[in-house]
Amino acid sequence: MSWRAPRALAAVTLAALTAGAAACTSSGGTARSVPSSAALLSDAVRPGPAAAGMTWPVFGGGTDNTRFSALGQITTGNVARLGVAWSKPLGQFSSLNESYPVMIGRTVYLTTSTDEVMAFDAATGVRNWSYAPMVDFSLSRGVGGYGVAVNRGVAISGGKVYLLTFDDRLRAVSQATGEELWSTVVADAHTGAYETSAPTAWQDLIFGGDSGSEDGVRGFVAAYHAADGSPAWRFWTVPAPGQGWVPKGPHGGGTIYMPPTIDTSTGLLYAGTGNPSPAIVGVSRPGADLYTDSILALRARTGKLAWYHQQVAHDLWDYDAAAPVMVFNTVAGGKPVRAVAEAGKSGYFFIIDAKTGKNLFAPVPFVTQHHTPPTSAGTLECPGSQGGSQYGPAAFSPQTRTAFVTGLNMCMMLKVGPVSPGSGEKDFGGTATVPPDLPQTGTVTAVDTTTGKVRWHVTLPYPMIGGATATAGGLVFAGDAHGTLYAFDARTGAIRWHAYLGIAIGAAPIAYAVGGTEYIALVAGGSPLSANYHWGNIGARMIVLRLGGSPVRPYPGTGGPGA
Amino acid sequence: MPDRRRVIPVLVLLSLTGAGCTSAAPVPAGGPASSPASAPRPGPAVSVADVARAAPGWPAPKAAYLGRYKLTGSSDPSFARAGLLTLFMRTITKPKKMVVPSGILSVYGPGATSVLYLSQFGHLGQRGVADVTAGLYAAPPAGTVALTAFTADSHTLTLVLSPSGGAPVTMRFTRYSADPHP
Repeated sequence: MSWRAPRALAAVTLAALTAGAAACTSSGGTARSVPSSAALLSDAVRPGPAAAGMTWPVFGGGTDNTRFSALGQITTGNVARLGVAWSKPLGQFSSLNESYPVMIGRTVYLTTSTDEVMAFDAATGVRNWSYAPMVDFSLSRGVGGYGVAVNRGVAISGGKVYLLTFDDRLRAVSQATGEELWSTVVADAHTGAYETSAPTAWQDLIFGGDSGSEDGVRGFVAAYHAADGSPAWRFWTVPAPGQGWVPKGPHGGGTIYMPPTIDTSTGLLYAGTGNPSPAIVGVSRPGADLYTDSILALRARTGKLAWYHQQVAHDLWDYDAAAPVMVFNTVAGGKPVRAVAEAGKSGYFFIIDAKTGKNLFAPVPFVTQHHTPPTSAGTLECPGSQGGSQYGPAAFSPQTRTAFVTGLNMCMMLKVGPVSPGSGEKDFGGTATVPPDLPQTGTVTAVDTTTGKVRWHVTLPYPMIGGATATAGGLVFAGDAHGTLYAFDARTGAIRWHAYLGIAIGAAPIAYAVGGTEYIALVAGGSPLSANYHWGNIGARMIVLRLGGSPVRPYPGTGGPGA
Repeated sequence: MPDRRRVIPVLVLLSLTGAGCTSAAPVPAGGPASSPASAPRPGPAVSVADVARAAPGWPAPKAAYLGRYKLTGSSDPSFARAGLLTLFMRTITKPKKMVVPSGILSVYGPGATSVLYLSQFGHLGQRGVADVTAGLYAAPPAGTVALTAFTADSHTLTLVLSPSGGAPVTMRFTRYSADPHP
């Protein structure tokens, strides 16, 4: 089904801070009185496919990608005592980072923007190994030559660490040693395709896609055999150039920026797709431009399409459905229902029936909305092409059936015409600029998934790009593009703790426990977006927090336009 | 907005050799392998201030520089035992729209990769110089490079990278394609 973006201005309503949800329960202790490992976990939520427990083994915590941790040692009542357990810089010149770590056993695995993988002891920060493949960062026609690359993480399965690198390779390295086991080409860099996403591992398959819609790249979702990287299936998200709605020439779209989500209970794979290209000029691509700006439900074993849900038909605003999809149980119309949800660059949060792909509720706006078709004279669009929810994942708490969505409240002037010189987005179809007198703020919005209503909404002074993480301690953690990490009260949105880390944050934290202590860990560094708009210092540093840790002080970055 | 006066960019120097288990860097797709690094003699370093006072542009016709290079020698294999350099022309819009010399330098050490962007090209006599940034071109300089020698017949240039607060590293590159675009 499709939903066309409204043309009328629709300001986001600041919801009343209702507390109708069940109170958070937690049996957590503190760092001073160390509880047993079992007591770290909330009585209300046991770890399973949908919730991370003592570890954070996959990108989204559990396979359902809800970024919820069942750990409850750190609570609304004691989070003020959060301090630094350990931190590590990631390299002499390492800069920018959108990496989402994973944690297995007592090892944290993360990537850098130069496609390195590092394995740290989760409690001490001692680096066990690092892997630095020789990636040609000028190879991609799209970003190469303009050179900004990111890597959002790894997938781990069967003793192997899998990553996708900027040069369109899927690589496998030993989980124990970091030794490269094999690598294989999965896309043609000469088309402009590149890789940014973490892959997803499930059973004997590895899943991923390609990036580069604004460069005219044709998107796909693919599965590879975990043993050797050989292809299992490929689903093209848009027709080939000159076929269907795609114009002849270097055009396409529908590329993938974040890891697919597997519902292990149904074997369905969910992936969000990017915009059509040319991005803001639609005259040469008639119709809805399927399957761009969509959530796709594919059979994970075969790649066959089960259903699709297009968020924006015939997109003229670069409104990718880039963020990862999450899967959860909720209630709609008084009946239990399996749902999927995703927050788009359109600035709307979509809650969908996982069986049918139909909206369960009307899309929920979380930033200012105002849309008109772009023209050569220029039109103000809200959110702009770099607003809404970029790639940052939302979180979901099964305790209160609430989703937590981060956003960028940023309008932009879109002007059809020649692309911005040096932008690297060769098929954007024009320019996008931010009027200097308009705010560039961040948002966190809590959405009741049983009603589709906003429970609470907070506006913050800097954009929130990297997404959110919720815990059984009744907290929601999210960082802004200036470098402040926040802990919000999941029931009310009240800020229970915050600290300025000195380096812009472009990814969401994880939560794990070792030896009876709960840790909150994140990679700070900033995204190319935050750097280009001077929101914060860039750098690359792993920062791990625990109750009773040392005081948080700003870390030095490698500098940035805002430094 | 951040206080631009308050934060001074600081480079954190990491040991590149104490990384425990590390893996060998494979040969990149689309580019030739680097030969074993023979150490070139260290060349003179330049400062950010030197770059600022340099005359804009290349010290020789741009066709002599543009292209794709591989590392053939390094004074510090623990930092750069393999590397790729692309020198090309890039369009910028500030302070005005113009096409300027630019570069991407990727160096691969054991267990660490550095990707650096070269901008603000100029020359001090026959010596080319440029600022080095990390993360993106518009970042504050994290160091400089000096192109201390260029032999047109062998298509070889020697590049001295001077990280802010760090020791210079001299690297020799050989051009394998005059086309900067892969």
